[in-house]
Amino acid sequence: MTSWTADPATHDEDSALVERTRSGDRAAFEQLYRRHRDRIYGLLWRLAGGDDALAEDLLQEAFVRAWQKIDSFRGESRFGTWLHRLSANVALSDRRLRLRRVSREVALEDGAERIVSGERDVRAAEQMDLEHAIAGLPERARAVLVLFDIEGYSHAEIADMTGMAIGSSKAQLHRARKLVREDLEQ
Amino acid sequence: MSIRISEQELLRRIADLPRDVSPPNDPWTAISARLDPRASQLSAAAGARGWALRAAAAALVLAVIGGVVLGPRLSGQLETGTTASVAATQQRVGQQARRLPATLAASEAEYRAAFREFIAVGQARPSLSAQTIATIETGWADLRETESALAAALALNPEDPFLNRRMLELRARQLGFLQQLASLDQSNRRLTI
Repeated sequence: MTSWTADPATHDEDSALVERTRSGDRAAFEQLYRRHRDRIYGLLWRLAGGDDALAEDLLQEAFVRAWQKIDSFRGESRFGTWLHRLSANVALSDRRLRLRRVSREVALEDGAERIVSGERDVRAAEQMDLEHAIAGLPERARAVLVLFDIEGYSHAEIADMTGMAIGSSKAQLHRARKLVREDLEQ
Repeated sequence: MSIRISEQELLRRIADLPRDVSPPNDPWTAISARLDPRASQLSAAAGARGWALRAAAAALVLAVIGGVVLGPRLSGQLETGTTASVAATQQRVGQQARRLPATLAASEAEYRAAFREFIAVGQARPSLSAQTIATIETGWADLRETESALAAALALNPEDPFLNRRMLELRARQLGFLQQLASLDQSNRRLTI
């Protein structure tokens, strides 16, 4: 995955907050949460196919897991990168993601409108259509497209996270892009 | 009429998607409620639990030793008591009780006070404050002091039924203490595992 942020100041601030969190400082952990919440929610919301309620549950689970596992973060990567990977794993291992079948349309519309709210350019409608098409993908294809095209993970990383072969990851990406294009072309 | 979209165009649109999305509700309150104490705080809790286990183990050892050393003598005394007439026993106890040493009377008061603390310990709390731990330790020390005084008095008057009865009562309180510590330990274990 590409680096979370190139800003050294952000990295230093995160490092200080992580150290305080290790010693049980909840206020420091809340600051980490505030700094990374929207980035993580964006990932989880897309992996959840635009389901707000499921994404919020996953967000909770991801940050609780981060609190529990903060001692395993050794600073070899940026905290945001570690947290992003952990959150993706939380989502991919959640059975609800695979079982989810209904109530997607309304949730997606709400979320998509929230994303583009305030924008005035012509791309707003395109983005909403694109989010809708991604949300409508089969679970594995959606996961690979979100992780590879949007979040910048490599096929090797995706294979490691999802348990599928690298070749399968590539095939799922090809399939996902094709399905999205077909959806947008309708 | 449909519009053809190239892969490059699709990737351009994907690249334009915002990475940050705000959740409709802020779940921090729910997250915060689920955060367990971190390792440093767990160590303190484990320390308190460890103290309880050590104290329970010490009480058990004392109870076993007491049973081995004093048990045969006490049981012999009890057997004697069952064969004597009730009236004769009551008379003898009354006479010997009047000769009760002042040190035993003081010890009796001490472990009555300690016993009241054990009742408080029995209402197991999720976590023990330093003050509570100090109170328990003081109560336990008082019990041991009482035990020493009773053992010394029994060494001088091994046939004294009053002293023997007091020793039996002390043993019962030590067992009660042990049970309450075990209960407290189980409560802490449920809360920390």
